[in-house]
Order: sequence, then structure tokens, then C-alpha cells
Amino acid sequence: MQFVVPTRTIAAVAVLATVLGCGSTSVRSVDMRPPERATNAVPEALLLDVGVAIFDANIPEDYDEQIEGNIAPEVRRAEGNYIAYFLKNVLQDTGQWGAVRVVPRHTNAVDVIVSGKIIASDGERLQLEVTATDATDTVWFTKRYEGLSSRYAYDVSVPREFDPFQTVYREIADDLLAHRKNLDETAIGRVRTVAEMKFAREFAPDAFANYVEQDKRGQSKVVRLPATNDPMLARVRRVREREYLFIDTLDEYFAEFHRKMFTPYQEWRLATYDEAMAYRELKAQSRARMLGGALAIAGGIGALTSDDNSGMTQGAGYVAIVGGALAVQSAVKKRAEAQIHADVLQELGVSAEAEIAPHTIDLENRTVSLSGTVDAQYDAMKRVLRQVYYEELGLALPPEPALPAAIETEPDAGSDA
Amino acid sequence: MPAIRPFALVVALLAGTAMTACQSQSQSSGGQPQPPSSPSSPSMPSPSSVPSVPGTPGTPGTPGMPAPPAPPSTDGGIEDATDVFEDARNRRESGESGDASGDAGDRDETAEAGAEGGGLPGDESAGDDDQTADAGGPTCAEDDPDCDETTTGTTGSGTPAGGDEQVAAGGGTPCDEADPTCTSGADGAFERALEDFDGAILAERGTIISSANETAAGDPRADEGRPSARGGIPAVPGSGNGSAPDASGLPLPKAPETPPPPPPSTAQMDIPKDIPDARDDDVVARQLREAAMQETDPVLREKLWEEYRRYKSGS
Repeated sequence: MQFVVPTRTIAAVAVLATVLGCGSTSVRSVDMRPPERATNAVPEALLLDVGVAIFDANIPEDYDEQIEGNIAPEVRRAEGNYIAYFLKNVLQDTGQWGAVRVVPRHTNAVDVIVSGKIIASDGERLQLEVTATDATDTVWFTKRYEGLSSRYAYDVSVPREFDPFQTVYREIADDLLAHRKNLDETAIGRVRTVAEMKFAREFAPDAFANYVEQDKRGQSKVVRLPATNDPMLARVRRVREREYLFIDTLDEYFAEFHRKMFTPYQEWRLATYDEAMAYRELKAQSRARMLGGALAIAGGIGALTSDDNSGMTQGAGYVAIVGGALAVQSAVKKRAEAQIHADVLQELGVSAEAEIAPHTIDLENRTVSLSGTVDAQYDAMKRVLRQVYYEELGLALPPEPALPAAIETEPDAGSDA
Repeated sequence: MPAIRPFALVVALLAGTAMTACQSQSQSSGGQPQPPSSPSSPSMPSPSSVPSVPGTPGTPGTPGMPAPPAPPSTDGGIEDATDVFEDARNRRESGESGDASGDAGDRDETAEAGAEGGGLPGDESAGDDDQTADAGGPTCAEDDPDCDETTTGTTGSGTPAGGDEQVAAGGGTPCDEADPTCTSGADGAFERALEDFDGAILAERGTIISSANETAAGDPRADEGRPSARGGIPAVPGSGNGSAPDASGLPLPKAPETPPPPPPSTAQMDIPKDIPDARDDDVVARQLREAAMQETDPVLREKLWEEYRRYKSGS
């Protein structure tokens, strides 16, 4: 059975494929709408403290992948801090939450943790993957957000309080709020209680080890509660106040970091806006023309080798082949142009890294330094709390839990016994 | 004359004994940690003073405060001396000119209290308010800077001041957790740990404030890139929604909400009249404008303005 393909269809497809290489236009606008804000004061019982973790920079280890993705590692690392801080401010301004702070490390002092990963970031596009989890280990959502900026978002008339990717932050804030609104006061209270008990367990495990358990689904729940005037709980709460203080101090670090790195980072985004957009357009055009050209050539060959020897078919075949060849040639040129823009992006990244990296290093150094000091203080507090606990019970202080035994190495075969 | 010598010896002996007795009494009031003098049921801690066992919503501790335990004794009282209590005892001993026999006697009483009931000797003092009020002076030497002699202790919430009676080991009668001056035993160590933490944080915040002020003074645009400035450093510890500020409060420095703007220099005000508004300036024009405004040399300033005009006319 002979499979017959209509030649006119082939010719039409070939012409259409050639046309596919044409570019397209898109319209972008600057969206500065704020997220949903509280019109009245939210009752204290409904407030949840939010910790925004530093976003994962998602830097590939392979250098070629960094080049392919136009990733400037130091800029990306700074963005992890910048995005977290900016999102913190956006959430704080809504008035829908309790204390919202950037938390460089995991802490049980907050009720909800917002973490994320940078998928792509340059002056034109921002792609994030965001996860929100509460103290009961319930994942509120994991979602990808993408925003495309407009050139006018970098105009000097736009207030600096608005980010070119304001849409992304607004959507994250609105999604968080939408989930919180699905929780009633009891559920919110449960989250806050679990957070407090987890914190208490962390600092006084001997006293509060059995107050929080994890069920089969991996979610935490409170199984028992201490008395409201439990002295150990009172002490743990005082320690928790210090944790808040520590987090607030770190927040000042991030504020200062933001002040220092904003200008070079904004200039980098503005400079990469045109280059990144041109790079992506050229790559898309190159792919489309390559695909269209290949289809046109295939269609033309098919038309020429078909049984239909009419002039129209033969002519369409020749046109398709020539058009396809020209499309492929254009695709190669577009790819070369795209590479030029990629090189420019890389240079811009290197230049921005030189300005931004010192601020990032300074932030990280100060954070690590203060965290180390605080951790040492916390270790001392934990030891004292343990002593106080057993003292209150009138029991002897048991020895500290032993460290895992070192792995014993087998003696060498040639060694003497 | 020879008859006077034996008499002098007797007088000297009596004087020495009296001095010794006085010293032993002062030791018992302000030296070694002592068990409470109250003989009421040393083996049965009063119910109100039983510290709340986690999980049992009942009998709370002495208004939130358990009594510190007795010091180690040779008769099998609380034998495990923690580092905290050793340190506390060493500090007190360094402030004493003490009588070992008096100390031993005190320890024996403590041992009895500890051995008989297993309850914390200080619990009795919590249960006997009146006795506590009269009993036991501070268990630390008066010249000890950590020694607190100002708390009332009528409900066991503070270290009673003065008195010659023996008090619980570990640094006096239980004092209120909320009392910032409570420095007894492990609670004292806990307070000191909190103070150390506060000191470290306050020092760091001072650095932040001075750094912020320097940045604001050096760069007029330093604060422009800070969206939605929350402002300054909060004066209360932490900002958790479910917890009240620490009763003791933290002497945090009251930072200004935003760094004060630097005083405008004279050069900034000398903008030529033909220079238009900066609203339409792009990045290069803005930089030229700012450089011209901040330039103090009039010749260079005029050249910068000229460059600005040329750039604006060209763009």
C-alpha cells in the first residue's frame, strides 16, 4: 500500500515552516500593585511569625553550565540574600503577619518558614521556586513564580521601594496570605504552640523531650503541655526572647547589606536587561529558523521526489528547499549573534561581581561571627537549664549524653598483635 | 604581777572564744550555704514549693521558683556537686575568714535535710514565709558583688536580707525568676548566661548603629535603597507575637528611626538657574548632576555643569 502525501499540503507546510522563523512581539507593563494588605489590625491570636530563609543561589558546579545559564556566581549569591530581604519587607508591609525576619539558619523561634531557590535571574526575568512550611512541618505550598520586567521598571522615576519584579513578590505574599486565611484560630494556635514546644525541646530536651511528636506523615503535634507557670517554660521563653533579639540583629545586617549592594545590583540588572532579552530572542529565533528550515528542506525534497510532476509541485519543492537553506543559514547567524550577547552578559557579571562580592562576604562574615558567639552562649544556657531542671526535681545530674564512639580501625595485616 | 599573767591568759582565751563564736555566727549568716533553720518536715517539702513536673498541670513551684539544693555533704546528701555550685561556694569561701567547724556543722545539718527527705531544703523556706522572713540572711559574703541583700523574701521570692539564721544552700532562699537581681545557684548562672548574651548582642548593635551613622554621613543616598524601612533597632527584646518582653527589660540603646541626613553643603544649593529639573535625567545625567552638586571647587563645578548641559542637549 503506497502512502500518498498531498503535495500541496507539503508545500503549505514548508512555506509555513519558513514563516515560523519570523520574530514575535510582546507587550510588558510595570505592575506596581502592592500585595493584599490588612485594612484593620489583625488580632494577635491570628498572627504568625514568619522567617524568610536565604534563597538557594542554585549555582551549578560545572563552569560550562554557569556560562550556558549566564550565571555570575557572586551576583547570584548576593541575590539569595537580597531576595530574602526584599520578600521579608513585602510581607512585613502587608500587616498580615507577626514579626517577619530573614533567618539565615533554621530556627524554631518563628512559626512559618519561607524558603526558596533561584531558578533564573537577570535584569529581564526572575524565576523562583518557593516553599512555605509551618512549625507543624505542614507544607503550605511549593510553587514556581516567574516574572518578566519592563524596561520602564528601571526608570529613575520608579520608587526604589518597588522592585522590577514586584509581581513575583506580590504573588508570593498573596499565596501565603491565602493559605493562612484557610486556618482558623485553633489551627493557628496549634502552630504557635508547636513552635514554642519545639524551641523548648531544643533548649531543654530533658524537660520537654516528650511534648512534641511526629506522626506517620511527618507532621509535628503537641502531645502534652506544661503548666502555664512552669518555671522551666518561663526560662525557655526568656531564652526565646534572646533568639528574637538575635534575629532582629541579623535583620540589621541584611538591611545594611541591601543599602550597600542595591546600586551596583540595580545597574547590573538594567545593563543585563537588554542583553538578556536580546540573547533569549536571538536564541529563540535561531531555534525556530533552524527547525523551520529543516522542515522546509524536508518538505521540498518530498515534493521533488513525489510522483506529482506538475510544475506547481516541482516549483514549490525548489522554493521550499531554497527557503529552508536560507532559514538554516539565518539560524546560524542568529546563534552567533546570541553568543555575542552572552559574552557581554558574562562581562557584565564579572564587573558586577567585583562590586557586589565584598558586601556579600562582609554580610556572611558578620552573620557567621555573631551566630558563632550566640551558639556558644546557647550551649552554656542549655547546660545551665539542664542543671536547673534536675535540681528542681531533686535528682542527681546525669552525665552528658556520650558522643558516638569512634570507628575502630582494624589492625594492619602486617602489624604485630 | 605574776598573778596577772594567768588572769590575762584567761581573758585572752575568753576573748578568742568570743571572737570565734562571733565569726561562726557571721559565717552562718553570710558565708556557707546553710540549710533552713526551720525544722518543719525536712523530709516533706511543702506542697506549694514542689516544682512542677513537666506535664503535670498542678502544683507549681514556689512562685515559679524551686529552691536550690543543699551543698554536697559527707553524710550522703546531694553528693553530686555541679560546677555551678562549686563556683558559688568557692566565691563565698574566698570572701570568708571562716571557721571550718562551723561549716562542717552547717553541712551536717544540710546533709540531714537532704538525706531525710530528698526534698530541696530550700522548699521549707518557701513554705514558711514568716520564718523565711526572719530566717537566714544572705548566703553570700557581704562584700561579694554578686550578693543580693535587698530582696524581701517574704514569699520566698527573694533572698531575705540580714538575719543570722541558716538558709538553704545554693545561694539563699529561692528568688523570683523575674527578679533581675536573683543570683542564687544555677539560677544565678542562668541569669549570668542571659546577661552575657545580652552584652554580646548590645555590643553588636552598638557597632551597627555607629556603622549606619557613618554610612549616612558619608553617602546621602545610603538610605534610599532601603525599601519600606522598618526603622532603627527595636528597644524591646525580640518581637515575637506570643511572648511578652522580658520583665527585666534590656537596656537597649534607643536608635533613631532613620539615620539623620547630612547637612546640605553650600555647593549643593548653588544650582544654576538654567539647569532643569532632574526628573528626566537618565543614569549618566544624574551622575553628572550629583557630581556637580557635591563639587566644592567652583571651577570644576562649573565644568561639570557645562558637561551636564552638553549631555542633556545632546540626548
